[in-house]
Amino acid sequence: MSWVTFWQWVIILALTTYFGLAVVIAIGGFFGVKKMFRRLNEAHLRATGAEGLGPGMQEGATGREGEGESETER
Amino acid sequence: MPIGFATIDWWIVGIYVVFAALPGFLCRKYIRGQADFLVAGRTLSIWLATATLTATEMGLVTVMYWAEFGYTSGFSAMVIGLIALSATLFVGLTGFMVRGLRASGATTVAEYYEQRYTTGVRLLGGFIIALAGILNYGVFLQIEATFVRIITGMPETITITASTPGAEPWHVPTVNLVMTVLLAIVLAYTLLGGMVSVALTDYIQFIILTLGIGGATYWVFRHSGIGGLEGMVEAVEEHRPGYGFNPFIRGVNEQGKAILGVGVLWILWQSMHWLGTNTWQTQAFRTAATDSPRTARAMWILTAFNYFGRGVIPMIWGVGALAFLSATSAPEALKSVHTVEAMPIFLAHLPAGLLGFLTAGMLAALMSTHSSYLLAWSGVLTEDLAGPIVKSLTGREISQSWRVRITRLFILLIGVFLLCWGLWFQVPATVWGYLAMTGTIYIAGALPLVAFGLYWKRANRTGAYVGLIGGAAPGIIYLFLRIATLIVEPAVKDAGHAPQHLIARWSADLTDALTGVISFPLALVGMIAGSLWAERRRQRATAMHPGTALPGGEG
Repeated sequence: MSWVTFWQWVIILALTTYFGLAVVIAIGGFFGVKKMFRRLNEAHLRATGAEGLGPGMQEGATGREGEGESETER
Repeated sequence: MPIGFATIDWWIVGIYVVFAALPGFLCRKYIRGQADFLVAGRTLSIWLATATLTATEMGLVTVMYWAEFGYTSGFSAMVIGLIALSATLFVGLTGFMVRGLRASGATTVAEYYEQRYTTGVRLLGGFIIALAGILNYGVFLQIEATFVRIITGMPETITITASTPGAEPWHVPTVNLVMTVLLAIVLAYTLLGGMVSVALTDYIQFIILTLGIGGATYWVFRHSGIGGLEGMVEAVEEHRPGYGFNPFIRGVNEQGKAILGVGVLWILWQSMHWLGTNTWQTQAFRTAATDSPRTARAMWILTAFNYFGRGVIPMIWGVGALAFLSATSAPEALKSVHTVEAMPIFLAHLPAGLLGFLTAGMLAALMSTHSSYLLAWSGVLTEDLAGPIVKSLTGREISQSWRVRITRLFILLIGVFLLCWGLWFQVPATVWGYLAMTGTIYIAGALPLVAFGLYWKRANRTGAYVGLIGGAAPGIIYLFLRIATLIVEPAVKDAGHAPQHLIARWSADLTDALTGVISFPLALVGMIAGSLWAERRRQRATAMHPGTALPGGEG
C-alpha cells in the first residue's frame, strides 16, 4: 500500500469517527447536562435546607461561633 | 470573492459571544465550595464528560498548531493523530493510571503525590505542574489573536492620532488589541461560574464547534482552487517531497540541516508524551470530575477517537492551505508566508456566513479551552502550593470560601501573565513543538510518579523527587536557553536568521524533539534508581540500628 492510499484511509477514518461520535455525544450530553443540574440542585437544596435550620442550630452542630471558623472546619 | 468578515459574520459572532456568557451568570448559585468550582461537584456523566474534554482540548490554538504542522509536514503530520489514538485508547481500555487516579479521589495530580508520597513531593510537583502549565498556556492568546486578526481581515496595525497638535500618531499592533479583548471575555465568564458553567458551555460549544469544523472541512475538500484530495497530494509532492508522505524521514533545508518533516526522534517523543498526557492537569480534572472510575475509563475510550479527529482534521486544513497558496501565490511569496498564518489566510476565503459560523465555533473552542486552563492552573496554585504552605505555617486548612477567592485571584494573575508573555515571547520552531516541550516538563515526571505510585509498591519519596527533577530539567534548560537567546540576540525572531551568539547556537542545537526524548527516560530512570537507592539505604539503616525508621514515603 502506498503512503497516499494509507493517508487517504486515515483521513476517512478520522472524519467518520469524529463526526459519528459527535452526534452520539451531542445526544448523550444533553441528558448529561440534565443529570448534572438535577444532582447539583439536590445538593443545593440540601445545603440551603441546612442553612434554614438557623444560625443557632448550625453553631450547635459545629461547635463554632463565627462563620469564618465554621467555614474553616468544612 | 471579497475576503475577511462581512456584516452577517460580525452578527453571528456577536450573538454567540453574548449567548456564551449567560451560563456563567446562571450557574453562580451552584458554586458553594472548591469542589463545585473546580470539578463541578464530581457530577459529570460519560457523554457530558467526553463533550467537555473534547471542547477543552479542541481549542482554537489546537486548530492553529495542528494546521501549521499539516502545512509544514504534509500528510506525515497525521502520524501524531495515530499516536494520540493508540495511546489514549490504551489508557481507556486498560484504565492505565486514570482508574487509579479517579479512585484515589484526588482533585489535582499533585494531591495524589501527597497521598502516595509526601507533602514535599506535592509542593515540588505542584510547582513544576504550575510552571510548565502556565508557560505552555502563555502562547495561546498570541496564536489565537493571530487567527482572529487574519480571519476577520483586520489590518496589522491601527493608527491612533493624538489629540495634541504635532504629536506623533501611535501605531498599535492589532494582535495586541485582539489579545486584550479575548482575555477580558474569557476572564469574565470563567470567574463567574467555575466548572459548572464550563461544563454547560463546553457542551454548547462542542456542538457549535463541531458544526463549524464540519462546514469548513466540507468547503476545503470542495474548493475549486485546491482540487480536492488529489490537489493536496500534488501540492505535497511538489513542496514537501518525500517527507510529506513518509513520517520516518526528514527533509533538508537550504543550509543542509534536517529540520523539516516528522522523523523517528519525534515519533518516539510523541509516543511517550501521549501515553502520559492524561496526567495533564486540564485532563486530570475531567477524570476527577467523572462520577466513577468506570465513567473515567469510558470517557478516555471515546476521547481517543476525538483526539484522532482533532489532530487529523486541522492538518487537512493545513495541507489544504499549502495547496491553495501554492496554486495562487508566486514561489517566493509562498516562502515568505509565516507557517502559523497559512491556514487562517486560506480560511479567510470562506463564504460570508460560513466564515462567521466557523469563527464563532473557533471562539467557542477558545473560550472552553481558556476557562479550563485557567481553572486548572489556578487550581494547582491554590490546592498544591498555597494550601499546603498555609497549612504548614499556621497548622490550619484554608476555608472553602477562601479557596474559591484565592483561585479567582490566581485566575486574574495568570490572565495578566498571558498578556505579557504573549506580547514578548516568540516560539522557536513550530507552535506544537513548543507546547509539547513545555508539556513534557510536567508530563515526563508525572508519568512515572503516577504510574509507579499506582503499580509499584517500592516507589518512594526519593524516587519521586529524582523523577520529577529528571523529567523537568531538560525542558527548563531548553526554555532558559531560548529566553537568554531572545535577550542576547533578539534578531532570532526574524525568519531565516542564522544564530551567531554561543547561547543562540546552543538553543538552536537543543531542539524540542531532542529535549523531549531525553526527558522521559531521565525521569523513568530517576524514579527507579532513586526508589531502589532509598530502599537499600533504609534496609542498611534498619540492619545497623534495628527499630530506626526513615521519614514517611520511604518504603
